[in-house]
Amino acid sequence: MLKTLLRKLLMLWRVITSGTRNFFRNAWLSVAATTVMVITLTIILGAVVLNMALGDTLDKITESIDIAIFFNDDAPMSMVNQLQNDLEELDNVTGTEYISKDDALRQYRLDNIDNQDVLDAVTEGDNPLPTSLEVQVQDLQLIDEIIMLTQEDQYLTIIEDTSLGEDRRRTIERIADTRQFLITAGIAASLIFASVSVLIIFNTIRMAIFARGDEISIMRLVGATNGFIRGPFLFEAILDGLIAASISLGLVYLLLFRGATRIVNDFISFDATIAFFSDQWLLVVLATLAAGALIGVISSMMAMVRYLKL
Amino acid sequence: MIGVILLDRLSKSYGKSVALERVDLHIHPKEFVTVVGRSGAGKSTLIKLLIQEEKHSSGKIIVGGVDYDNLKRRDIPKLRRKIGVVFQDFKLLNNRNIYENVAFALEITGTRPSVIKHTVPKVIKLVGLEGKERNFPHEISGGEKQRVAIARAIVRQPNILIADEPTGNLDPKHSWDIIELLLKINRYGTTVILTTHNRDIVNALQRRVVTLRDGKVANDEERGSYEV
Repeated sequence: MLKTLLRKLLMLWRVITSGTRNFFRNAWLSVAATTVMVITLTIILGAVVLNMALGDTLDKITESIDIAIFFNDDAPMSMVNQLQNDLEELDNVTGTEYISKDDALRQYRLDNIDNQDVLDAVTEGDNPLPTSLEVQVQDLQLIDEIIMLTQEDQYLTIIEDTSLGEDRRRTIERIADTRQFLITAGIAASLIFASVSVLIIFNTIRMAIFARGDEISIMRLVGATNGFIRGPFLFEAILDGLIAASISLGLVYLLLFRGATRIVNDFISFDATIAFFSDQWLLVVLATLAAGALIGVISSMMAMVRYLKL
Repeated sequence: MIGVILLDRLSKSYGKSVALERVDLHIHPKEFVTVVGRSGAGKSTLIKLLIQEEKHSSGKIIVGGVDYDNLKRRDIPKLRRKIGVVFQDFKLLNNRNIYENVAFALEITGTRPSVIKHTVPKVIKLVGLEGKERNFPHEISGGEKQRVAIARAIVRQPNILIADEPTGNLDPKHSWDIIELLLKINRYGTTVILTTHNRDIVNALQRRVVTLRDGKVANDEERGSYEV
Protein backbone atom coordinates (compact mmCIF):
# COMPACT_ATOMS: atom_id res chain seq x y z
CA MET A 1 0.00 0.00 0.00
CA LEU A 2 2.66 2.49 1.13
CA LYS A 3 4.97 1.18 -1.56
CA THR A 4 2.35 1.78 -4.25
CA LEU A 5 1.71 5.28 -2.94
CA LEU A 6 5.42 6.08 -2.92
CA ARG A 7 5.74 4.74 -6.46
CA LYS A 8 2.84 6.90 -7.61
CA LEU A 9 4.37 9.96 -5.93
CA LEU A 10 7.67 9.20 -7.64
CA MET A 11 5.91 8.95 -11.01
CA LEU A 12 4.07 12.21 -10.33
CA TRP A 13 7.38 13.86 -9.47
CA ARG A 14 8.87 12.59 -12.74
CA VAL A 15 5.86 13.89 -14.69
CA ILE A 16 6.22 17.30 -13.00
CA THR A 17 9.96 17.56 -13.62
CA SER A 18 9.50 16.47 -17.21
CA GLY A 19 6.68 19.01 -17.72
CA THR A 20 8.79 21.76 -16.16
CA ARG A 21 11.72 20.85 -18.40
CA ASN A 22 9.45 21.03 -21.44
CA PHE A 23 8.12 24.40 -20.29
CA PHE A 24 11.62 25.86 -20.37
CA ARG A 25 12.56 23.99 -23.54
CA ASN A 26 9.64 25.71 -25.33
CA ALA A 27 10.58 29.04 -23.75
CA TRP A 28 9.15 31.35 -26.40
CA LEU A 29 5.94 29.44 -26.82
CA SER A 30 5.56 29.35 -23.06
CA VAL A 31 6.08 33.13 -22.87
CA ALA A 32 3.39 33.69 -25.52
CA ALA A 33 0.95 31.35 -23.81
CA THR A 34 1.60 32.85 -20.40
CA THR A 35 1.31 36.44 -21.65
CA VAL A 36 -2.07 35.97 -23.25
CA MET A 37 -3.28 34.15 -20.18
CA VAL A 38 -2.05 37.05 -17.98
CA ILE A 39 -4.18 39.41 -20.09
CA THR A 40 -7.18 37.10 -19.82
CA LEU A 41 -6.98 36.63 -16.07
CA THR A 42 -6.28 40.32 -15.47
CA ILE A 43 -9.37 41.24 -17.47
CA ILE A 44 -11.46 38.75 -15.51
CA LEU A 45 -10.11 39.97 -12.17
CA GLY A 46 -10.40 43.62 -13.26
CA ALA A 47 -14.03 43.07 -14.24
CA VAL A 48 -14.70 41.51 -10.83
CA VAL A 49 -13.02 44.45 -9.05
CA LEU A 50 -14.91 47.10 -11.03
CA ASN A 51 -18.20 45.29 -10.66
CA MET A 52 -17.74 45.03 -6.90
CA ALA A 53 -16.66 48.66 -6.60
CA LEU A 54 -19.58 49.96 -8.64
CA GLY A 55 -22.00 47.74 -6.74
CA ASP A 56 -20.66 49.13 -3.50
CA THR A 57 -20.93 52.68 -4.82
CA LEU A 58 -24.55 52.07 -5.83
CA ASP A 59 -25.40 50.66 -2.42
CA LYS A 60 -23.88 53.65 -0.69
CA ILE A 61 -25.76 56.13 -2.83
CA THR A 62 -28.99 54.18 -2.45
CA GLU A 63 -28.63 54.17 1.32
CA SER A 64 -28.21 57.92 1.37
CA ILE A 65 -31.45 58.59 -0.46
CA ASP A 66 -34.66 59.17 1.47
CA ILE A 67 -38.01 58.57 -0.09
CA ALA A 68 -40.64 60.53 1.72
CA ILE A 69 -44.28 61.48 1.15
CA PHE A 70 -45.42 64.72 2.79
CA PHE A 71 -49.06 65.32 3.70
CA ASN A 72 -51.29 68.35 3.95
CA ASP A 73 -51.97 69.43 7.51
CA ASP A 74 -55.63 68.57 7.05
CA ALA A 75 -55.01 65.08 5.65
CA PRO A 76 -57.19 62.60 7.56
CA MET A 77 -55.20 60.08 9.59
CA SER A 78 -57.30 57.25 8.14
CA MET A 79 -56.16 58.10 4.60
CA VAL A 80 -52.53 58.32 5.70
CA ASN A 81 -52.87 54.92 7.32
CA GLN A 82 -54.50 53.55 4.19
CA LEU A 83 -51.63 54.80 2.01
CA GLN A 84 -49.13 53.34 4.50
CA ASN A 85 -50.87 49.95 4.22
CA ASP A 86 -50.99 50.16 0.44
CA LEU A 87 -47.28 51.00 0.34
CA GLU A 88 -46.34 48.12 2.59
CA GLU A 89 -48.08 45.71 0.28
CA LEU A 90 -45.69 46.62 -2.54
CA ASP A 91 -42.88 44.07 -3.05
CA ASN A 92 -40.21 46.69 -3.40
CA VAL A 93 -41.12 48.39 -0.10
CA THR A 94 -39.27 46.95 2.86
CA GLY A 95 -40.70 49.31 5.49
CA THR A 96 -42.45 52.59 6.21
CA GLU A 97 -42.27 54.99 9.09
CA TYR A 98 -44.88 57.53 10.08
CA ILE A 99 -43.39 60.87 11.07
CA SER A 100 -45.78 63.20 12.84
CA LYS A 101 -45.41 66.99 12.80
CA ASP A 102 -43.88 66.80 16.30
CA ASP A 103 -41.45 64.08 15.31
CA ALA A 104 -40.42 66.14 12.32
CA LEU A 105 -39.84 69.18 14.49
CA ARG A 106 -37.75 67.18 16.95
CA GLN A 107 -35.62 65.83 14.15
CA TYR A 108 -35.34 69.29 12.60
CA ARG A 109 -34.10 70.72 15.87
CA LEU A 110 -31.59 67.94 16.28
CA ASP A 111 -30.35 68.46 12.75
CA ASN A 112 -29.93 72.20 13.30
CA ILE A 113 -28.85 72.22 16.91
CA ASP A 114 -25.94 74.57 16.19
CA ASN A 115 -27.97 77.09 14.21
CA GLN A 116 -29.93 79.24 16.60
CA ASP A 117 -31.43 81.42 13.86
CA VAL A 118 -33.00 78.45 12.18
CA LEU A 119 -34.21 77.10 15.51
CA ASP A 120 -35.80 80.41 16.39
CA ALA A 121 -37.66 80.54 13.06
CA VAL A 122 -39.55 77.35 13.82
CA THR A 123 -41.52 77.07 17.04
CA GLU A 124 -43.96 74.52 18.32
CA GLY A 125 -46.80 77.00 18.05
CA ASP A 126 -45.98 77.64 14.43
CA ASN A 127 -44.71 74.28 13.16
CA PRO A 128 -44.48 74.44 9.36
CA LEU A 129 -43.14 70.91 9.04
CA PRO A 130 -45.59 68.49 7.49
CA THR A 131 -46.61 65.01 8.57
CA SER A 132 -44.79 62.45 6.42
CA LEU A 133 -44.21 58.83 5.60
CA GLU A 134 -40.62 57.65 5.10
CA VAL A 135 -40.37 54.70 2.79
CA GLN A 136 -37.53 52.18 2.62
CA VAL A 137 -37.18 50.37 -0.68
CA GLN A 138 -35.17 47.42 -1.95
CA ASP A 139 -34.40 48.85 -5.33
CA LEU A 140 -34.46 52.50 -6.16
CA GLN A 141 -34.82 51.66 -9.83
CA LEU A 142 -38.25 50.24 -9.13
CA ILE A 143 -40.02 53.10 -7.43
CA ASP A 144 -42.38 53.76 -10.32
CA GLU A 145 -45.14 51.85 -8.56
CA ILE A 146 -44.74 54.10 -5.53
CA ILE A 147 -45.05 57.12 -7.78
CA MET A 148 -48.17 55.65 -9.40
CA LEU A 149 -49.71 54.96 -6.00
CA THR A 150 -49.16 58.53 -4.82
CA GLN A 151 -50.79 59.78 -7.97
CA GLU A 152 -54.05 57.94 -7.41
CA ASP A 153 -57.04 60.31 -7.11
CA GLN A 154 -57.82 59.40 -3.53
CA TYR A 155 -54.33 60.36 -2.38
CA LEU A 156 -53.70 63.38 -4.59
CA THR A 157 -55.76 65.54 -2.26
CA ILE A 158 -53.90 64.63 0.90
CA ILE A 159 -50.34 64.66 -0.50
CA GLU A 160 -48.56 67.97 -0.49
CA ASP A 161 -45.27 66.84 -1.93
CA THR A 162 -43.05 63.84 -2.50
CA SER A 163 -39.30 63.42 -2.31
CA LEU A 164 -38.34 60.58 -4.54
CA GLY A 165 -34.72 61.54 -5.09
CA GLU A 166 -35.07 62.22 -8.81
CA ASP A 167 -31.60 63.78 -9.13
CA ARG A 168 -29.96 60.92 -7.32
CA ARG A 169 -31.99 58.50 -9.35
CA ARG A 170 -30.43 59.79 -12.50
CA THR A 171 -26.96 59.36 -11.01
CA ILE A 172 -27.86 55.87 -9.87
CA GLU A 173 -29.20 55.03 -13.28
CA ARG A 174 -25.97 56.19 -14.85
CA ILE A 175 -23.86 54.12 -12.48
CA ALA A 176 -26.14 51.13 -12.90
CA ASP A 177 -25.92 51.49 -16.67
CA THR A 178 -22.13 51.74 -16.48
CA ARG A 179 -22.05 48.74 -14.21
CA GLN A 180 -24.26 46.76 -16.54
CA PHE A 181 -22.09 47.77 -19.48
CA LEU A 182 -18.93 46.80 -17.61
CA ILE A 183 -20.39 43.44 -16.64
CA THR A 184 -21.35 42.74 -20.26
CA ALA A 185 -18.06 44.08 -21.61
CA GLY A 186 -16.13 42.22 -18.89
CA ILE A 187 -17.84 38.93 -19.68
CA ALA A 188 -17.37 39.45 -23.42
CA ALA A 189 -13.70 40.43 -23.07
CA SER A 190 -13.08 37.56 -20.62
CA LEU A 191 -14.66 35.09 -23.01
CA ILE A 192 -12.75 36.43 -26.01
CA PHE A 193 -9.41 36.40 -24.23
CA ALA A 194 -10.11 33.06 -22.58
CA SER A 195 -10.76 31.63 -26.06
CA VAL A 196 -7.57 33.23 -27.37
CA SER A 197 -5.67 31.78 -24.40
CA VAL A 198 -7.12 28.35 -25.02
CA LEU A 199 -6.20 28.61 -28.71
CA ILE A 200 -2.64 29.71 -28.02
CA ILE A 201 -2.02 27.08 -25.35
CA PHE A 202 -3.70 24.52 -27.58
CA ASN A 203 -1.17 25.43 -30.28
CA THR A 204 1.73 25.43 -27.85
CA ILE A 205 0.87 21.92 -26.78
CA ARG A 206 0.15 20.85 -30.35
CA MET A 207 3.58 22.04 -31.46
CA ALA A 208 5.16 20.38 -28.45
CA ILE A 209 3.40 17.13 -29.37
CA PHE A 210 4.68 17.36 -32.96
CA ALA A 211 8.18 18.33 -31.85
CA ARG A 212 8.33 15.39 -29.49
CA GLY A 213 6.69 12.86 -31.79
CA ASP A 214 9.72 10.56 -31.72
CA GLU A 215 10.03 10.80 -27.99
CA ILE A 216 6.35 9.96 -27.58
CA SER A 217 6.57 6.91 -29.81
CA ILE A 218 9.69 5.72 -27.97
CA MET A 219 7.96 6.21 -24.64
CA ARG A 220 5.06 4.09 -25.88
CA LEU A 221 7.36 1.37 -27.17
CA VAL A 222 9.26 1.02 -23.92
CA GLY A 223 5.99 0.73 -22.03
CA ALA A 224 5.17 4.17 -20.66
CA THR A 225 1.55 4.43 -19.60
CA ASN A 226 -0.70 6.94 -21.35
CA GLY A 227 -0.86 8.97 -18.17
CA PHE A 228 2.93 9.16 -17.99
CA ILE A 229 3.09 10.34 -21.61
CA ARG A 230 0.24 12.86 -21.32
CA GLY A 231 1.16 14.06 -17.83
CA PRO A 232 4.07 16.34 -18.79
CA PHE A 233 2.00 18.08 -21.51
CA LEU A 234 -0.81 18.61 -19.05
CA PHE A 235 1.55 19.90 -16.39
CA GLU A 236 3.25 22.22 -18.87
CA ALA A 237 -0.11 23.85 -19.64
CA ILE A 238 -1.03 24.01 -15.96
CA LEU A 239 2.31 25.69 -15.31
CA ASP A 240 1.47 28.29 -17.99
CA GLY A 241 -1.79 28.92 -16.14
CA LEU A 242 -0.30 29.08 -12.66
CA ILE A 243 2.48 31.48 -13.64
CA ALA A 244 -0.02 33.68 -15.52
CA ALA A 245 -2.40 33.64 -12.53
CA SER A 246 0.41 34.73 -10.18
CA ILE A 247 1.37 37.63 -12.46
CA SER A 248 -2.28 38.70 -12.85
CA LEU A 249 -2.85 38.59 -9.12
CA GLY A 250 0.25 40.72 -8.59
CA LEU A 251 -0.93 43.25 -11.16
CA VAL A 252 -4.50 43.48 -9.90
CA TYR A 253 -3.51 43.74 -6.23
CA LEU A 254 -0.94 46.40 -7.10
CA LEU A 255 -3.48 48.40 -9.10
CA LEU A 256 -6.20 47.98 -6.50
CA PHE A 257 -4.12 48.87 -3.46
CA ARG A 258 -1.81 51.47 -4.98
CA GLY A 259 -3.57 52.87 -8.01
CA ALA A 260 -7.34 52.64 -7.95
CA THR A 261 -7.92 54.43 -4.67
CA ARG A 262 -5.83 57.43 -5.71
CA ILE A 263 -7.50 57.90 -9.03
CA VAL A 264 -11.20 57.45 -8.54
CA ASN A 265 -12.02 56.98 -4.89
CA ASP A 266 -13.94 60.25 -4.87
CA PHE A 267 -16.47 58.92 -7.30
CA ILE A 268 -16.27 55.16 -7.01
CA SER A 269 -16.05 53.53 -3.62
CA PHE A 270 -13.29 50.89 -3.53
CA ASP A 271 -13.44 50.39 0.23
CA ALA A 272 -15.56 47.24 0.24
CA THR A 273 -13.62 45.75 -2.70
CA ILE A 274 -10.30 46.41 -1.00
CA ALA A 275 -11.69 44.93 2.21
CA PHE A 276 -12.84 41.85 0.32
CA PHE A 277 -9.53 41.41 -1.50
CA SER A 278 -7.70 41.78 1.84
CA ASP A 279 -9.93 39.58 4.00
CA GLN A 280 -10.55 36.91 1.39
CA TRP A 281 -7.11 37.01 -0.24
CA LEU A 282 -6.72 33.24 0.00
CA LEU A 283 -10.01 32.67 -1.79
CA VAL A 284 -9.09 35.21 -4.49
CA VAL A 285 -5.61 33.69 -4.96
CA LEU A 286 -6.90 30.11 -5.06
CA ALA A 287 -9.76 30.98 -7.42
CA THR A 288 -7.42 32.78 -9.82
CA LEU A 289 -4.85 29.98 -9.73
CA ALA A 290 -7.65 27.49 -10.32
CA ALA A 291 -8.95 29.53 -13.26
CA GLY A 292 -5.44 29.65 -14.78
CA ALA A 293 -4.91 25.94 -14.27
CA LEU A 294 -8.36 25.19 -15.68
CA ILE A 295 -7.68 27.14 -18.89
CA GLY A 296 -4.41 25.18 -19.16
CA VAL A 297 -6.09 21.84 -18.57
CA ILE A 298 -8.89 22.52 -21.08
CA SER A 299 -6.51 23.64 -23.83
CA SER A 300 -3.97 20.86 -23.37
CA MET A 301 -6.70 18.21 -23.15
CA MET A 302 -8.15 19.52 -26.42
CA ALA A 303 -4.72 19.37 -28.07
CA MET A 304 -4.03 15.88 -26.74
CA VAL A 305 -7.40 14.45 -27.74
CA ARG A 306 -6.82 15.79 -31.25
CA TYR A 307 -3.10 15.20 -31.77
CA LEU A 308 -1.80 12.73 -29.21
CA LYS A 309 -3.19 9.41 -30.28
CA LEU A 310 -1.93 6.72 -27.96
CA MET B 1 6.10 -14.29 -17.28
CA ILE B 2 8.24 -16.90 -18.91
CA GLY B 3 9.48 -16.46 -22.42
CA VAL B 4 7.09 -18.70 -24.26
CA ILE B 5 5.25 -17.50 -27.35
CA LEU B 6 2.31 -19.27 -28.96
CA LEU B 7 0.78 -18.14 -32.22
CA ASP B 8 -2.25 -20.06 -33.37
CA ARG B 9 -3.69 -19.45 -36.85
CA LEU B 10 -2.69 -15.82 -36.49
CA SER B 11 -3.89 -13.54 -39.27
CA LYS B 12 -3.65 -9.85 -39.92
CA SER B 13 -5.05 -7.97 -42.86
CA TYR B 14 -5.21 -4.32 -43.77
CA GLY B 15 -8.40 -3.97 -45.74
CA LYS B 16 -8.12 -6.48 -48.56
CA SER B 17 -4.37 -6.90 -48.28
CA VAL B 18 -3.31 -9.83 -46.12
CA ALA B 19 -0.10 -9.31 -44.14
CA LEU B 20 -0.15 -12.52 -42.12
CA GLU B 21 -2.23 -15.59 -42.83
CA ARG B 22 -2.86 -18.45 -40.40
CA VAL B 23 0.58 -18.36 -38.83
CA ASP B 24 1.21 -21.16 -36.33
CA LEU B 25 4.34 -20.78 -34.25
CA HIS B 26 5.52 -22.07 -30.91
CA ILE B 27 8.62 -20.43 -29.49
CA HIS B 28 10.02 -22.02 -26.36
CA PRO B 29 11.55 -20.23 -23.40
CA LYS B 30 15.23 -19.33 -23.84
CA GLU B 31 15.08 -20.09 -27.54
CA PHE B 32 16.94 -18.01 -30.15
CA VAL B 33 14.74 -17.77 -33.24
CA THR B 34 15.56 -15.94 -36.44
CA VAL B 35 12.66 -14.83 -38.60
CA VAL B 36 13.57 -14.24 -42.23
CA GLY B 37 11.68 -13.25 -45.32
CA ARG B 38 11.63 -10.74 -48.15
CA SER B 39 10.33 -7.24 -47.57
CA GLY B 40 6.58 -7.45 -47.18
CA ALA B 41 6.69 -11.10 -46.09
CA GLY B 42 5.12 -10.18 -42.75
CA LYS B 43 8.11 -9.92 -40.38
CA SER B 44 7.39 -6.39 -39.21
CA THR B 45 3.68 -7.10 -38.90
CA LEU B 46 4.49 -10.09 -36.71
CA ILE B 47 6.53 -7.91 -34.39
CA LYS B 48 3.93 -5.17 -34.30
CA LEU B 49 1.37 -7.75 -33.23
CA LEU B 50 3.68 -9.20 -30.58
CA ILE B 51 4.14 -5.79 -28.93
CA GLN B 52 0.50 -4.89 -29.60
CA GLU B 53 1.31 -1.88 -31.66
CA GLU B 54 -1.44 -3.31 -33.80
CA LYS B 55 -4.34 -5.66 -33.17
CA HIS B 56 -4.51 -9.00 -34.94
CA SER B 57 -7.47 -9.76 -37.20
CA SER B 58 -7.99 -13.36 -36.13
CA GLY B 59 -6.30 -16.28 -34.45
CA LYS B 60 -4.54 -16.29 -31.12
CA ILE B 61 -1.42 -14.79 -29.58
CA ILE B 62 -0.43 -16.06 -26.17
CA VAL B 63 2.79 -14.69 -24.68
CA GLY B 64 3.94 -15.90 -21.28
CA GLY B 65 0.46 -17.17 -20.58
CA VAL B 66 -1.18 -13.87 -21.51
CA ASP B 67 -3.87 -14.25 -24.15
CA TYR B 68 -3.86 -11.05 -26.19
CA ASP B 69 -7.59 -11.39 -26.80
CA ASN B 70 -8.12 -10.68 -23.11
CA LEU B 71 -5.67 -7.81 -23.03
CA LYS B 72 -7.20 -4.46 -22.14
CA ARG B 73 -5.83 -1.20 -23.54
CA ARG B 74 -4.49 -0.19 -20.17
CA ASP B 75 -2.56 -3.47 -19.88
CA ILE B 76 -0.55 -2.84 -23.05
CA PRO B 77 2.13 -0.64 -21.43
CA LYS B 78 2.68 -3.37 -18.82
CA LEU B 79 3.03 -5.97 -21.57
CA ARG B 80 5.58 -3.81 -23.40
CA ARG B 81 7.64 -3.53 -20.26
CA LYS B 82 7.98 -7.29 -20.24
CA ILE B 83 9.11 -7.55 -23.84
CA GLY B 84 12.33 -5.79 -24.80
CA VAL B 85 12.38 -4.44 -28.34
CA VAL B 86 15.28 -3.23 -30.49
CA PHE B 87 14.74 -1.49 -33.82
CA GLN B 88 16.79 -0.95 -36.93
CA ASP B 89 16.72 2.82 -36.42
CA PHE B 90 17.65 2.53 -32.72
CA LYS B 91 14.91 4.91 -31.54
CA LEU B 92 17.06 6.68 -28.98
CA LEU B 93 16.17 9.96 -27.31
CA ASN B 94 18.65 12.35 -28.88
CA ASN B 95 18.45 14.92 -26.11
CA ARG B 96 19.45 12.43 -23.46
CA ASN B 97 22.83 10.89 -22.94
CA ILE B 98 23.52 7.14 -22.97
CA TYR B 99 22.96 6.73 -19.25
CA GLU B 100 19.70 8.68 -19.38
CA ASN B 101 18.44 6.73 -22.39
CA VAL B 102 18.88 3.46 -20.55
CA ALA B 103 17.59 4.85 -17.24
CA PHE B 104 14.52 6.16 -19.06
CA ALA B 105 13.12 2.64 -19.46
CA LEU B 106 13.19 2.29 -15.68
CA GLU B 107 12.00 5.79 -14.88
CA ILE B 108 8.72 5.30 -16.70
CA THR B 109 7.89 2.30 -14.55
CA GLY B 110 8.40 4.15 -11.30
CA THR B 111 11.65 2.40 -10.41
CA ARG B 112 13.35 3.97 -7.40
CA PRO B 113 16.36 6.23 -8.14
CA SER B 114 18.63 4.02 -6.01
CA VAL B 115 17.71 0.95 -8.08
CA ILE B 116 18.26 2.90 -11.32
CA LYS B 117 21.70 4.01 -10.11
CA HIS B 118 22.59 0.45 -9.28
CA THR B 119 21.22 -1.25 -12.41
CA VAL B 120 22.00 1.08 -15.31
CA PRO B 121 25.84 1.03 -15.03
CA LYS B 122 25.77 -2.78 -14.89
CA VAL B 123 23.74 -3.03 -18.10
CA ILE B 124 25.87 -0.41 -19.84
CA LYS B 125 28.91 -2.51 -18.91
CA LEU B 126 27.20 -5.66 -20.19
CA VAL B 127 26.71 -4.12 -23.64
CA GLY B 128 30.28 -2.87 -23.65
CA LEU B 129 29.69 0.88 -23.42
CA GLU B 130 31.47 1.54 -20.18
CA GLY B 131 32.97 5.03 -20.15
CA LYS B 132 30.51 6.38 -22.71
CA GLU B 133 27.66 6.99 -20.28
CA ARG B 134 27.79 10.77 -20.66
CA ASN B 135 27.95 10.73 -24.48
CA PHE B 136 24.90 11.73 -26.48
CA PRO B 137 23.58 9.55 -29.33
CA HIS B 138 25.04 11.85 -32.02
CA GLU B 139 28.49 11.36 -30.50
CA ILE B 140 28.63 7.58 -30.93
CA SER B 141 28.71 5.13 -33.85
CA GLY B 142 25.74 3.19 -35.25
CA GLY B 143 26.91 -0.01 -33.60
CA GLU B 144 27.17 1.76 -30.27
CA LYS B 145 23.73 3.26 -30.71
CA GLN B 146 22.33 -0.22 -31.22
CA ARG B 147 24.09 -1.34 -28.03
CA VAL B 148 22.38 1.49 -26.17
CA ALA B 149 19.05 0.36 -27.61
CA ILE B 150 19.77 -3.20 -26.48
CA ALA B 151 20.79 -1.96 -23.02
CA ARG B 152 17.51 -0.07 -22.79
CA ALA B 153 15.59 -3.14 -23.94
CA ILE B 154 17.15 -5.47 -21.39
CA VAL B 155 17.53 -3.17 -18.40
CA ARG B 156 14.15 -4.31 -17.10
CA GLN B 157 15.26 -7.91 -17.49
CA PRO B 158 12.52 -8.98 -19.90
CA ASN B 159 11.99 -12.66 -20.64
CA ILE B 160 11.67 -11.92 -24.32
CA LEU B 161 13.85 -9.70 -26.49
CA ILE B 162 12.69 -8.84 -29.99
CA ALA B 163 15.32 -7.47 -32.33
CA ASP B 164 13.78 -6.10 -35.53
CA GLU B 165 16.52 -5.86 -38.15
CA PRO B 166 19.01 -4.65 -35.54
CA THR B 167 21.93 -4.87 -37.97
CA GLY B 168 20.14 -3.27 -40.91
CA ASN B 169 22.03 0.02 -40.57
CA LEU B 170 25.37 -1.42 -39.49
CA ASP B 171 28.57 -2.53 -41.23
CA PRO B 172 29.52 -6.26 -41.01
CA LYS B 173 31.85 -5.84 -38.05
CA HIS B 174 29.35 -3.94 -35.94
CA SER B 175 26.62 -6.31 -37.09
CA TRP B 176 28.51 -9.25 -35.68
CA ASP B 177 29.15 -7.38 -32.43
CA ILE B 178 25.42 -6.92 -32.05
CA ILE B 179 24.63 -10.56 -32.87
CA GLU B 180 27.18 -11.72 -30.32
CA LEU B 181 25.59 -9.46 -27.77
CA LEU B 182 22.18 -10.93 -28.52
CA LEU B 183 23.62 -14.45 -28.15
CA LYS B 184 25.11 -13.46 -24.83
CA ILE B 185 21.74 -12.14 -23.63
CA ASN B 186 20.13 -15.38 -24.84
CA ARG B 187 22.66 -17.40 -22.84
CA TYR B 188 21.50 -15.53 -19.73
CA GLY B 189 18.05 -17.03 -20.33
CA THR B 190 16.20 -14.50 -22.44
CA THR B 191 14.14 -15.69 -25.40
CA VAL B 192 15.42 -13.82 -28.46
CA ILE B 193 13.50 -13.25 -31.68
CA LEU B 194 15.65 -11.77 -34.41
CA THR B 195 14.43 -10.61 -37.77
CA THR B 196 17.09 -10.02 -40.39
CA HIS B 197 17.91 -9.86 -44.08
CA ASN B 198 21.52 -10.77 -43.47
CA ARG B 199 22.21 -14.15 -45.08
CA ASP B 200 25.69 -14.55 -43.53
CA ILE B 201 24.41 -13.97 -40.05
CA VAL B 202 21.53 -16.44 -40.40
CA ASN B 203 23.72 -19.12 -41.87
CA ALA B 204 26.44 -18.67 -39.29
CA LEU B 205 24.08 -18.66 -36.33
CA GLN B 206 22.98 -22.27 -36.81
CA ARG B 207 19.83 -21.61 -34.82
CA ARG B 208 16.11 -22.07 -35.50
CA VAL B 209 15.02 -20.18 -38.60
CA VAL B 210 11.39 -19.36 -39.43
CA THR B 211 10.92 -18.25 -43.02
CA LEU B 212 7.90 -16.12 -43.87
CA ARG B 213 6.64 -15.89 -47.41
CA ASP B 214 3.56 -13.89 -48.41
CA GLY B 215 2.39 -13.75 -44.82
CA LYS B 216 2.64 -17.49 -44.23
CA VAL B 217 5.22 -19.67 -42.52
CA ALA B 218 7.02 -21.21 -45.49
CA ASN B 219 9.69 -22.97 -43.49
CA ASP B 220 10.53 -23.63 -39.85
CA GLU B 221 13.81 -25.44 -39.18
CA GLU B 222 15.69 -26.18 -35.96
CA ARG B 223 19.06 -25.37 -37.52
CA GLY B 224 18.01 -23.47 -40.54
CA SER B 225 19.64 -21.34 -43.14
CA TYR B 226 18.73 -18.28 -45.13
CA GLU B 227 16.40 -19.31 -47.92
CA VAL B 228 13.80 -16.77 -48.81
